[in-house]
Order: sequence, then C-alpha cells, then structure tokens
Amino acid sequence: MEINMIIGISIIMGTYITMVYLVLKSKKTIEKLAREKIRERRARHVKKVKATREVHHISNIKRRPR
Amino acid sequence: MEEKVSLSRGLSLSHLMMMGMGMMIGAGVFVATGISIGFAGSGGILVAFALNGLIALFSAMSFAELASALPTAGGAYTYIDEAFKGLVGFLSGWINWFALIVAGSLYAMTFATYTIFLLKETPLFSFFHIAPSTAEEILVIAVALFFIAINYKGVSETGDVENIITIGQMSTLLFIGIFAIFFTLLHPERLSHFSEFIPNGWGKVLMAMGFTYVGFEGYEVIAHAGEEAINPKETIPKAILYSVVAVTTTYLLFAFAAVVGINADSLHISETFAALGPIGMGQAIKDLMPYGGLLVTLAAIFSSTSALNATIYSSTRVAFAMSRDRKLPSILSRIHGTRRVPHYALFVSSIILLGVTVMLPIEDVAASADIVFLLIFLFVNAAAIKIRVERGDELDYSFLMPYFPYIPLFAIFLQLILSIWIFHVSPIAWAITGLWIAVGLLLYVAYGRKGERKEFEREVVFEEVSEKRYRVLAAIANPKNAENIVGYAEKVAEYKDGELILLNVVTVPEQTPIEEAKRFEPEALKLIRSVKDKLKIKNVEGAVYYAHNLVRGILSAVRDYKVDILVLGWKGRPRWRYVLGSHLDKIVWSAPCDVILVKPEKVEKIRKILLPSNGGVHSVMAAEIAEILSKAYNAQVTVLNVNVNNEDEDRIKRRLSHVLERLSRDTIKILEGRNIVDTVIKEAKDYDLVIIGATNEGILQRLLFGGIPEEIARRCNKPVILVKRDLGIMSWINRWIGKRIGV
Repeated sequence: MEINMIIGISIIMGTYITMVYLVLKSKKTIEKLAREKIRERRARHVKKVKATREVHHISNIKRRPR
Repeated sequence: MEEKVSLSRGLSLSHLMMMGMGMMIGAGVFVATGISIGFAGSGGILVAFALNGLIALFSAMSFAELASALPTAGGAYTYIDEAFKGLVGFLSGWINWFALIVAGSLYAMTFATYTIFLLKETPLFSFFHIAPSTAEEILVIAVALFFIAINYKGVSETGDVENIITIGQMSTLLFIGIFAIFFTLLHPERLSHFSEFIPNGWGKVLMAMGFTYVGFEGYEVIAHAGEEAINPKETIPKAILYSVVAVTTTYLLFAFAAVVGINADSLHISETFAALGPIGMGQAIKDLMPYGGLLVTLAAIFSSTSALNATIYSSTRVAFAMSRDRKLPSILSRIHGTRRVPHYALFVSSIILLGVTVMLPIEDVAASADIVFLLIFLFVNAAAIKIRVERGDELDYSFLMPYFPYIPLFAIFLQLILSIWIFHVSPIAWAITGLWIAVGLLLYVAYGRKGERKEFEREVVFEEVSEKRYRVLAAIANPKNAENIVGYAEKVAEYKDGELILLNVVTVPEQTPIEEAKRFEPEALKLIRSVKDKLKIKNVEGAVYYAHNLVRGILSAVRDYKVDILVLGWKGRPRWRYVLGSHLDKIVWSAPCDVILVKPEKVEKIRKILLPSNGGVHSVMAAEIAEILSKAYNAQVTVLNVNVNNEDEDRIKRRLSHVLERLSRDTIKILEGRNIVDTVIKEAKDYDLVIIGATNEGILQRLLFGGIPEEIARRCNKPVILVKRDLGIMSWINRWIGKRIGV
C-alpha cells in the first residue's frame, strides 16, 4: 500500500468520525438548551399559579364570616 | 374587534432535511465528480468529499447557530448584513445573488448534458441530424426559460413534488453506492482502481475540493424556512447538521461507485475520467450496473430541474431582499399585483442566468459557482463569530456550536485556501467573479451606500393560546360565500357556547418572502371585518395568517388555536384525481379536529333538513350538527336510509340508533333503491339543506373511487354540509398513510 493511500484513508476515516462526533455533540447541546427553556417556562408558570392561588386565598379569608 | 396576524408553521424536521438535501444534491455532483476524478484521481475524490463534508459541517454549524438566534431572518445575506452592515453586507448580498444565478446556470447545463447523454444513442437523435453540442445549447436555454416561466407564474404548490424528487435522488444515489459495495465484494479486483490513489499530488486534491464544493451548498435553504418551521429553534439547527452528514455519506458512496464501476485499465482511471469530462459519472455508472446509465441520467435530470427551480426563486428572493433594504434599485422589490411574484427581480436574475449559460462552458460555470459559494460561507463564519462576540448576551440561542471560535476560524481559513486554489482549475471563473465584485463595488458607491435601511419591523406576535373553550374556526376567502359559511359556523359556536375564529390565509408564492404577504393584509382584514359585523355572537376573533401554501396556513391556524371544529367552504367541483379538491383533500384528511365542509347554494329559509345516513361514525357527528342547525333554524330533520340490500326495518333502525339518539325530533324515512346516490339526490329536491357524514371508506378506496357521500355532495344542487369527525388515533394513522402516499 502506498503512503498516499494510507494518509488518504486515515483522512477519510478521521473526518467522518469527527463529523459524527460534532453532530452528536451539537444534538446534545440543542436538546439541553431546549430542556432548559422548558424548565424555565415551567418555573415561570408555577410562580404565576402560586401567586394567583395566594390572591385567592387572601380573598377567601376576607370573605369568611366572623 | 381583535385580529391576530400570524405566519403559518407546518414544516417538520424531516421536511426541512428533505429541503436541504434536495438543494445540496442539486446536480453539481453529477458534473463535478467525474471531472474531479480526472485530475485528483480515484482516491483523491474520496478524500476531497470527506474533507469538504467536514468544512461544510463547520460552516453549517455557523449557519445553525445564526439560524437559532435569528430564526426570522434566514439566509446568508441577512446574517452577514446583520453582522457587518455597510459595504460587506452589500457585497455579501451581491455575491450571494450571483452565486445562486451561477448555480442555476450550472443546473440547466447539467440537465442538458445528461439529457443528451441519454438521448444521443437513440434513433430520435440521428433522425434530426443535430450535433450533440448544438442540441445541448438549445436544451439549456429551453429548460432555463421553462423554469423562469414557472417562477413567473408563481407556482408554489411544489412542496410535495420536491419531497418525492429528493427521496428519489437520495435513494437512487444510495442504491448505486450500496450496489457498488456488493459489486466490489463479488469483484475484489476492482479495488485495483484505487491503486493510484492520488496520482497527481495533494495540490490536485485541494483543486477537487474547491471544484466539488458546490455540491455542499444548499443547506442554507433550511434557514430560509425559519418562518414556516414547527419549533424552528430546535428543528432548524438539527436539520442543517443532519443533512450535511447525510449528503456527505451519499457522495462518498456515489464516488466509490463511479471509481469501481468504470471499465478502464486500473492505471489509467483518472485519464479515462478526464477524457469523459462532465458525463464521466454517467458513463461509470452505466458500466457498473445494468440500466445504470438510465438511472444516473434520470437522477441527474430530476436533481437539476428541482435545483434549477429552487435557485431561480432563491436568487429572485435575494435580489428582492436587497432592493427592499434599499441596496438595489427599488424597482426590484415591486411585486406583481395578481401573481404576487417580484417580477422585476425575477426578470433581471433571468437575464443574467441566460447570459452566463450562453457565454461560458460548464467547467467555468461550475468553478464560478464554487468560488462565490466559498466566499459567501467564509463571510457567514465570520458573521457567526462577530454576532456571538458582540451580541451573544442579548440573543436567545437554541444552539451554540462547540469549540467556538476555533471551528469558524478554521472554516474561514480552509475556504479562503480553496477559493484561491480554484484559480488553477479555471482562471476565467476568478476573472468573472472579480468582474462581478467590481460591478458591485461601483453600484455600492453609486447607489447602495445611500440607502442603508432600518430594521424590517415585524408585527407578527405569537401568543400562547391557553384558555380552553370550544373553538370553531371558519376559513374564509371568497366574499361571495363567506357569510353563508360563517353563518353555519356561528350557529355551532353559539350552541356550544364557544368562540368563533374567522381565518383568512394570505398566500404568496415561494419566490416572494412570506412577510411580503403583509401587503395584501388590508384586503384580508376588510373581509374579516365585513363578515364579523353581521354576526350576532360576541366571542369572535379574526386571524390573518401569512403562508406560502394554503393548506399549511389553515393547518397551522388549527394547531395554534387548538381548534375543535374547522368550517370550510367547498365549490363542489373537484379537479381530476381529487375527491374534494387539491387543497381540501389535504386539509380534510390532515386536520387534527372535526371538519365541516359547506357547499353553499342559495336557499331562502331552512325548514327541512335531510340527513342521509347509514349509521357510520361521521354520520353521528352529522346528526349532532343537524340537531344544532334544526334548533337554530327551527327546522325538521329527516333521517334517510336507502335500503339497497332489502334489510328489515328493525335492523336498519338498530344500526341508525346512534344517529337517532342525537336528534330530539326526527323523522326516519327508509327508501328502497338500487343506487344510493341517485335516490338521495332525488329525495333532496324537497329539502332545504342536506347534511351528510363523510365516507368511512379506506384511503385506497378513496383514492380509487372517491366516496358515496362526497359524490352526493358534489351532484346535489341544494346546500350541502359534509361532516367529518376526528377519530383520534384512527385519524392519525389515516393522516400518516396519507402523507406518505401523497394524499
């Protein structure tokens, strides 16, 4: 096998493995960021719901006959 | 009155990947591969494709990052302009325009080259006594003119056809590659074709990399679709990256097939390809397998035509966008009144495309396309660095490329080397590119500098629809029958104590950027307001959706509003091969909700409603609608069953029990008859409205025969309401099959 062939095949294998590695790493990043965003949105929503419940609770206390 | 304006979102990850791969396998590979093996050798081409795949992936990462941060912008020009403004922004748009035009020209030439390759051995060719070169020249102009005309017509319903073509291209190339692997296992002596792996040195491999780079452009079209993608922040970056890897794999297999397939002495592989020139690929696959020549030629023809069509409209869009940004004369951003196409931008792009096609040989055109695309991607990488460094904190990225800034810096360096190296392949290509840039500079000094435009402000607001109440969506388009359709929708919304949404979808062809639909928004709002004013219920909302495709527009609104029932108008005159119509068939079988189709006919007052039924699931829903309307109009409902099988009456009543349960005051009528459709139509003459459930027949029956209810609805001259219930998982399976077989 000539030297060029060895170098060439190494380059092909190397680049292909690098490509697959980069794509998988990128996929992870995309999904991680998406999960973080969902978590953030949920946290905001829970905060909002809690605040609303608190208001309801206060108004119920006021309405309760003494 | 509240009206919301939105863009339709209907493209999934697989749709986006198809778009990207379709553009990438855009015929450049068919021409460039053979020529490149000619100078880089059998192993050189594989190394060139692998390295190009990596460089393309680096640039794709920059693209994906920018697309994730700026999902509404789309396109290389917009990103570079966003980062650099001024002269660099102008030049990037100017070069991008030329790149797309030159690519279009290359695709037209590929089409002609391969068509003549297919035809030249047939008797047809010898009959006309035309030299192959003359025939190629005529064909190149003819195909370019044909697609220019198609773009002028504003044909936008090409999505499904494009998908089929892309699947065809990918599967053909993969099939050839896999066949070649098996062929090599049976004939291992063919591996000797790689014995001179890189016969002419590594410099030629660099040349091959530059020369085949055009085969790796096209994924940027995915970023263009940012406005129409479902969950764009996640799907767009993924689609861009996946399509680059998929295409690189395909190319490697395809090039391997060409090398092992060619019938030549193993020491003279590169010389054989050099002698064959652009049709080297065709000849190699012809030698590899039976009907290989035909297969590869058809793949090249399909790839080149779909890519030619796409590049013509992309180039038109870039010229239009530059003009809209006041970097080119304003005439280029004018839109044709009826066709809604930027016709002047299309005209100028077409003239340049025809000029390049006529004046240059295919090798120089391919080299020019490579240079300009390399320059564009180089700038995109620079833009990704600048935008992240300067505005990284304020932007909301959904993808951040790893190893920043080394990846874009490395990509810039390699692309610069490759673009310069192409000088060795075609000095003319560099001369033409230089000339184009010089003209651009002059134009910038004379015109572009004056008109730096402010940001294009978008009034589109997406709001989360959270409050859940019964929602009826009425899609209206034609002022003549809008009131009639909405009348029925209003009755349903009123009965259910729900909300009525009046939807008007403003469509523009693919050639026109989607936000330009804004120009036609006043007409849409006028129609919605005029209909709204005549309604009695209060819970009414107006919605205007911008879309390239009516079906996607309506389905997008259905999803956004979480609609329970969709009301549509129907002319009752389907085109050949459609049950209801090209759009309606898709909407009715794809909408994730109940659907009512109204065929409006003039009627003074509704007193008698006919409900033909055989007890199917959609008939039950039809009975519910009949009950609602009978209460609203104080009308009498008659359930009609045509007894074609001489069944006994009790059995029929048992079968119709679910239908009868839904009605408070009904009359049942059982008629004897041989033909259901004729009997119902005859009976309908005495009624003011016919309500009928959609067909229960399977998808293949529908395709072949249509359905009985649809035929009744079509032929009846009374107002008809056709009702289809959403069957949950069954409807989902139906939709899934329908999508795959193109229904």
